[in-house]
Amino acid sequence: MRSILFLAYKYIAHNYIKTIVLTICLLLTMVVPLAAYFIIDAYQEHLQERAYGVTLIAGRRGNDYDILLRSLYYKGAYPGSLSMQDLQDVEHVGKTIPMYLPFTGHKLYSSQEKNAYYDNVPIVGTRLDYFSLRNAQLAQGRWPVILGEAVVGAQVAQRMNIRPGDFVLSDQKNLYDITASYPLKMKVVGILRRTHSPDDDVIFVDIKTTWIIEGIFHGHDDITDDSTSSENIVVSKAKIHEYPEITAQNLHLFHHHGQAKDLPITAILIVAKDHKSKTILRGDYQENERVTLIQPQKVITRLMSLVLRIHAFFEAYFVLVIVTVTLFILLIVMLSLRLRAEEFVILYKMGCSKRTLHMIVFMEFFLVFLFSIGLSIICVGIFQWLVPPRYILQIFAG
Amino acid sequence: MILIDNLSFSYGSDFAVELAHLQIQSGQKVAFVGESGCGKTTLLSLIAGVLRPHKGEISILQQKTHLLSEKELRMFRLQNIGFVFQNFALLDYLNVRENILLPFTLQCKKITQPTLDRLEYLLNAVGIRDKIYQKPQQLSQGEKQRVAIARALIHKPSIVIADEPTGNLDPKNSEKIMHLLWQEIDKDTTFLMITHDHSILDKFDRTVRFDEKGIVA
Repeated sequence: MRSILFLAYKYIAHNYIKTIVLTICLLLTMVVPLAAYFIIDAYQEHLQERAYGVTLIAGRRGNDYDILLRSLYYKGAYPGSLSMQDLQDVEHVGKTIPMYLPFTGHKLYSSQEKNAYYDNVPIVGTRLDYFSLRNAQLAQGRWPVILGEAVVGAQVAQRMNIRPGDFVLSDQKNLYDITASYPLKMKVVGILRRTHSPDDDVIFVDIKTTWIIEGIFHGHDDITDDSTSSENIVVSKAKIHEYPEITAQNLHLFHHHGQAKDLPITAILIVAKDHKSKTILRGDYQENERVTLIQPQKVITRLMSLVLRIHAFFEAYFVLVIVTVTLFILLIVMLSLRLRAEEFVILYKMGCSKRTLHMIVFMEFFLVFLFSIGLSIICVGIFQWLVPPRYILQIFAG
Repeated sequence: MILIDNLSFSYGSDFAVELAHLQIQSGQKVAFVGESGCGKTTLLSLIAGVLRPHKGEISILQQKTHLLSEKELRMFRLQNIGFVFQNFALLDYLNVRENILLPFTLQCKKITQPTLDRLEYLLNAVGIRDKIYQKPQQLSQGEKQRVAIARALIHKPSIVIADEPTGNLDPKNSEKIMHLLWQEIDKDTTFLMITHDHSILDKFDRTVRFDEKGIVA
């Protein structure tokens, strides 16, 4: 066996270009399915870890995937709104956290900042207990305590170069709708520690601040022109803001005219106190035509079954690729044997058995195969190490 | 001693080697001459056990080789026969040293100090001591044949079979190689060589001639 190994090694080392080409072929054949498997696995893990600890999510009846993706990952189509009354209706079950998620925003750049990066970053309106649920921690600054204050995710802060004291603006929903609210200028008071989750990619504000962006909560500016007004004459001036800002001076002016129970929310994260409460609540909402309760883990499993079905198609494709490569290698072996016929005749004449000759050829390919597997593992390892799952997901899953 | 009786071998129906009797004493230097395609190489292949006779008996060193199993025949060949081929038959992926030690590699034998001493002796004898780690493609034709001779002699075989060892060499190199063979092959070693060079026949103890029909005369 040692002599077989020696001769096989000597042959592949001598014909190193052929060995390298063959190794690359096998490497790619193995690495691509492995990388796909790794991405799918990371994707599943990434999806599931957001749902840990959340028993149910309440949302507008319609598409469960939209509710799931919007409330846990801040992506996808807007699923429609519930009201604060719905929050009150489920509060008895355990911990309930309202989320209002229709808005996006960006950094308010100073004129000196070059290479400004504009992006529609989701604005998440919630309450402080959301951060306890997610075990989120601050890397800089403090938590928001008054309206108009924001904390931003680590990735947003890095990408847009945001520091505490900077400002973010909400995006105007429709540029040509002159009746729409102005963008709201919000002060960044804290940066969250990186969690490698969708929380890194958003701006967090108190839910009331999102109602201000919506225009439900509003202030009334004094538009009286004191310089020209007299005792009996009131003159109004045209007072147009580029964007409003909530300050200590005007904070008390913000109010709304409706009832608190009608204020909109997108979803409610529910952490039921026990299994019984959860089951009863689900039963209560089974026939509800407006509100639905989804079990995030189950919806993720359903979602993944779709992804895995597509993955199964790719697996079948990779099997075909592997079969094709194997056939090509067989062809290479046959051509190689023909080219080396003289060499084998000499070895046979000298006393080498036909079995040993076959073993030498097999060993040559086995060594190349082994080398390819080793390299594949190293490549996937490096891939996994260099590119954390979240970046892969950003590339592949959006 | 090599003893052949009533030997018959054919490749299909076209060509045949038939030999009633041939006896070669140990240590004899025998030349095989005849036109191309008359069966010289086939006869030497039969003697070496590379081919098996269809009929007849071959006895080498008191062993009836035609009765040996495939495995026994291989081992017999590895231990007792050294080959020198016309086209040198060196493995281009092994260096000079590894090529010379190939019979030991194929036998999975450990390289002992006496073997290394023998290697050193042969390298000096054939004049390629300074090329020990070079690959065959870095050697001249003459040097390649020297390596082939060293490989054939490294395990001190009882029989050396040379199939036109100078066929690919120029006259000057041919002379040198022949001189080397006479010098390095022991007087106890049987040397069987196919040649077309009639000028060297007088150096052999005996000449076996083949006629057109492949029958030994």
